[in-house]
Amino acid sequence: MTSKKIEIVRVADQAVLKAELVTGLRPEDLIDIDRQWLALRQRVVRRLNNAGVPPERWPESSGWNWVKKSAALKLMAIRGFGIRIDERWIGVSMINVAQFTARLAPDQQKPLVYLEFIETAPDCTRLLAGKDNRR
Amino acid sequence: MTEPKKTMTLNLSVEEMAALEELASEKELSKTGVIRQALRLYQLIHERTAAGEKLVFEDEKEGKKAEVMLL
Repeated sequence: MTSKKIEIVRVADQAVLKAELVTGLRPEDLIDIDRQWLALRQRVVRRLNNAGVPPERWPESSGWNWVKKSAALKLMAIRGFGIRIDERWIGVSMINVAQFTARLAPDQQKPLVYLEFIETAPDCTRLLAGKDNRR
Repeated sequence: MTEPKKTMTLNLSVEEMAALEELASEKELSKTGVIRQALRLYQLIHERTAAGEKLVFEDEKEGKKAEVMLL
Protein backbone atom coordinates (compact mmCIF):
# COMPACT_ATOMS: atom_id res chain seq x y z
CA MET A 1 0.00 0.00 0.00
CA THR A 2 1.34 3.45 -0.86
CA SER A 3 0.00 6.86 -0.05
CA LYS A 4 0.34 10.23 -1.77
CA LYS A 5 -0.77 13.65 -0.56
CA ILE A 6 -3.35 15.29 -2.83
CA GLU A 7 -5.82 18.14 -2.68
CA ILE A 8 -9.50 17.84 -3.52
CA VAL A 9 -12.20 20.47 -3.93
CA ARG A 10 -15.40 20.20 -1.89
CA VAL A 11 -18.12 21.16 -4.35
CA ALA A 12 -20.50 22.54 -1.69
CA ASP A 13 -18.24 25.45 -0.70
CA GLN A 14 -15.26 25.15 -3.09
CA ALA A 15 -12.95 24.55 -0.11
CA VAL A 16 -9.63 22.89 -0.95
CA LEU A 17 -9.08 19.94 1.37
CA LYS A 18 -5.87 18.07 2.05
CA ALA A 19 -6.42 14.41 1.28
CA GLU A 20 -4.52 11.21 0.71
CA LEU A 21 -4.59 8.99 -2.40
CA VAL A 22 -4.03 5.43 -1.28
CA THR A 23 -2.98 2.87 -3.89
CA GLY A 24 -2.70 -0.87 -3.46
CA LEU A 25 -5.60 -1.16 -1.02
CA ARG A 26 -5.45 -4.21 1.26
CA PRO A 27 -8.44 -6.31 2.39
CA GLU A 28 -8.24 -4.63 5.82
CA ASP A 29 -8.75 -1.23 4.14
CA LEU A 30 -11.97 -2.48 2.54
CA ILE A 31 -13.12 -3.81 5.92
CA ASP A 32 -12.50 -0.33 7.32
CA ILE A 33 -14.47 1.26 4.44
CA ASP A 34 -17.47 -1.00 5.02
CA ARG A 35 -17.29 -0.29 8.74
CA GLN A 36 -17.31 3.47 8.11
CA TRP A 37 -20.02 3.42 5.43
CA LEU A 38 -22.47 0.73 6.56
CA ALA A 39 -24.69 2.96 8.73
CA LEU A 40 -24.58 5.72 6.10
CA ARG A 41 -25.68 3.34 3.35
CA GLN A 42 -28.55 2.24 5.57
CA ARG A 43 -29.57 5.88 6.02
CA VAL A 44 -29.57 6.36 2.25
CA VAL A 45 -31.75 3.29 1.75
CA ARG A 46 -34.15 4.35 4.53
CA ARG A 47 -34.43 7.85 3.06
CA LEU A 48 -35.09 6.54 -0.46
CA ASN A 49 -37.56 3.98 0.82
CA ASN A 50 -39.44 6.61 2.84
CA ALA A 51 -39.54 8.86 -0.22
CA GLY A 52 -41.17 6.05 -2.22
CA VAL A 53 -38.23 5.64 -4.62
CA PRO A 54 -38.40 2.13 -6.13
CA PRO A 55 -35.36 -0.09 -5.38
CA GLU A 56 -34.37 -0.24 -9.06
CA ARG A 57 -33.63 3.49 -8.86
CA TRP A 58 -31.48 3.24 -5.73
CA PRO A 59 -27.73 3.68 -6.20
CA GLU A 60 -26.22 0.41 -7.39
CA SER A 61 -23.73 0.60 -4.55
CA SER A 62 -26.41 0.74 -1.84
CA GLY A 63 -26.12 -3.02 -1.39
CA TRP A 64 -22.38 -3.39 -2.00
CA ASN A 65 -20.10 -5.22 0.35
CA TRP A 66 -16.46 -4.26 -0.12
CA VAL A 67 -15.32 -7.01 2.23
CA LYS A 68 -16.69 -9.59 -0.22
CA LYS A 69 -14.96 -7.82 -3.09
CA SER A 70 -11.66 -7.79 -1.18
CA ALA A 71 -10.89 -11.41 -2.13
CA ALA A 72 -10.07 -10.17 -5.65
CA LEU A 73 -7.21 -8.04 -4.32
CA LYS A 74 -4.97 -11.11 -4.11
CA LEU A 75 -4.88 -11.04 -7.93
CA MET A 76 -2.27 -8.87 -9.63
CA ALA A 77 -4.91 -8.01 -12.24
CA ILE A 78 -6.99 -6.22 -9.64
CA ARG A 79 -5.93 -2.99 -7.93
CA GLY A 80 -7.71 -0.99 -5.29
CA PHE A 81 -7.51 2.78 -4.87
CA GLY A 82 -8.99 4.99 -2.19
CA ILE A 83 -9.11 8.61 -1.08
CA ARG A 84 -9.22 9.52 2.58
CA ILE A 85 -9.17 12.62 4.73
CA ASP A 86 -7.98 12.29 8.32
CA GLU A 87 -8.47 8.50 8.32
CA ARG A 88 -11.98 8.87 6.92
CA TRP A 89 -12.51 7.14 3.55
CA ILE A 90 -14.37 9.29 1.04
CA GLY A 91 -13.96 7.26 -2.14
CA VAL A 92 -12.86 3.84 -3.30
CA SER A 93 -12.40 2.09 -6.62
CA MET A 94 -11.26 -1.26 -7.93
CA ILE A 95 -9.72 -1.62 -11.38
CA ASN A 96 -8.80 -4.55 -13.61
CA VAL A 97 -5.50 -4.10 -15.47
CA ALA A 98 -5.27 -7.43 -17.31
CA GLN A 99 -8.59 -8.75 -18.52
CA PHE A 100 -9.78 -6.19 -21.04
CA THR A 101 -8.48 -4.90 -24.37
CA ALA A 102 -9.76 -2.15 -26.61
CA ARG A 103 -12.15 -3.26 -29.37
CA LEU A 104 -12.02 -0.19 -31.57
CA ALA A 105 -9.27 1.19 -33.82
CA PRO A 106 -6.74 2.69 -33.44
CA ASP A 107 -6.27 1.02 -30.04
CA GLN A 108 -7.77 -2.36 -30.91
CA GLN A 109 -6.24 -5.22 -28.87
CA LYS A 110 -4.26 -2.86 -26.67
CA PRO A 111 -4.62 -3.27 -22.89
CA LEU A 112 -7.35 -1.29 -21.16
CA VAL A 113 -7.70 -0.30 -17.55
CA TYR A 114 -11.23 -1.39 -16.72
CA LEU A 115 -13.03 0.23 -13.82
CA GLU A 116 -14.76 -2.65 -12.04
CA PHE A 117 -16.23 -0.75 -9.08
CA ILE A 118 -16.27 2.83 -7.84
CA GLU A 119 -18.12 4.29 -4.86
CA THR A 120 -18.21 7.62 -3.08
CA ALA A 121 -18.81 7.77 0.66
CA PRO A 122 -22.61 7.96 1.06
CA ASP A 123 -22.43 11.21 3.02
CA CYS A 124 -20.44 12.81 0.18
CA THR A 125 -23.28 12.26 -2.27
CA ARG A 126 -26.37 14.39 -2.82
CA LEU A 127 -28.45 11.77 -1.04
CA LEU A 128 -26.93 12.56 2.35
CA ALA A 129 -25.13 15.83 1.69
CA GLY A 130 -26.04 18.81 3.82
CA LYS A 131 -24.86 20.32 7.04
CA ASP A 132 -27.17 18.31 9.28
CA ASN A 133 -26.09 15.04 7.77
CA ARG A 134 -22.33 15.39 8.00
CA ARG A 135 -20.64 13.44 10.71
CA MET B 1 6.45 6.32 -3.63
CA THR B 2 6.74 3.44 -6.11
CA GLU B 3 6.47 -0.26 -5.37
CA PRO B 4 9.79 -2.03 -4.74
CA LYS B 5 10.86 -4.16 -7.71
CA LYS B 6 13.11 -7.15 -8.25
CA THR B 7 15.20 -7.87 -11.33
CA MET B 8 15.71 -11.23 -13.03
CA THR B 9 17.38 -12.55 -16.17
CA LEU B 10 15.02 -14.30 -18.57
CA ASN B 11 16.37 -16.88 -21.01
CA LEU B 12 14.20 -17.11 -24.11
CA SER B 13 14.61 -18.94 -27.41
CA VAL B 14 14.94 -16.86 -30.57
CA GLU B 15 11.34 -17.75 -31.42
CA GLU B 16 10.07 -16.77 -27.98
CA MET B 17 11.96 -13.47 -28.09
CA ALA B 18 10.53 -12.74 -31.55
CA ALA B 19 7.02 -13.40 -30.23
CA LEU B 20 7.66 -11.17 -27.22
CA GLU B 21 8.98 -8.36 -29.42
CA GLU B 22 6.03 -8.67 -31.80
CA LEU B 23 3.53 -8.51 -28.93
CA ALA B 24 5.36 -5.56 -27.39
CA SER B 25 5.18 -3.73 -30.70
CA GLU B 26 1.50 -4.56 -31.32
CA LYS B 27 0.42 -3.67 -27.78
CA GLU B 28 2.74 -0.64 -27.56
CA LEU B 29 4.22 -2.00 -24.35
CA SER B 30 7.78 -2.70 -23.24
CA LYS B 31 8.84 -6.34 -23.18
CA THR B 32 8.66 -6.18 -19.39
CA GLY B 33 5.15 -4.76 -19.72
CA VAL B 34 4.05 -7.69 -21.90
CA ILE B 35 5.43 -10.23 -19.44
CA ARG B 36 3.83 -8.39 -16.53
CA GLN B 37 0.44 -8.36 -18.32
CA ALA B 38 0.83 -12.05 -19.21
CA LEU B 39 1.56 -12.93 -15.59
CA ARG B 40 -1.43 -10.95 -14.29
CA LEU B 41 -3.70 -12.64 -16.83
CA TYR B 42 -2.27 -16.12 -16.18
CA GLN B 43 -2.79 -15.71 -12.44
CA LEU B 44 -6.36 -14.46 -13.00
CA ILE B 45 -7.18 -17.41 -15.27
CA HIS B 46 -5.53 -19.87 -12.90
CA GLU B 47 -7.50 -18.60 -9.91
CA ARG B 48 -10.84 -18.57 -11.72
CA THR B 49 -10.45 -21.98 -13.35
CA ALA B 50 -9.25 -23.40 -10.02
CA ALA B 51 -12.49 -22.07 -8.53
CA GLY B 52 -14.46 -24.08 -11.11
CA GLU B 53 -15.02 -21.51 -13.86
CA LYS B 54 -14.31 -22.24 -17.55
CA LEU B 55 -12.28 -20.22 -20.03
CA VAL B 56 -13.93 -20.26 -23.45
CA PHE B 57 -13.03 -18.94 -26.91
CA GLU B 58 -16.13 -18.13 -28.90
CA ASP B 59 -16.58 -17.19 -32.55
CA GLU B 60 -20.09 -15.78 -32.80
CA LYS B 61 -19.97 -15.49 -36.60
CA GLU B 62 -19.01 -19.12 -37.07
CA GLY B 63 -21.04 -20.31 -34.10
CA LYS B 64 -17.98 -22.01 -32.63
CA LYS B 65 -17.14 -22.35 -28.98
CA ALA B 66 -14.08 -24.07 -27.49
CA GLU B 67 -13.03 -24.42 -23.91
CA VAL B 68 -9.40 -23.52 -23.22
CA MET B 69 -7.72 -26.21 -21.14
CA LEU B 70 -4.71 -25.04 -19.14
CA LEU B 71 -1.71 -27.10 -18.16
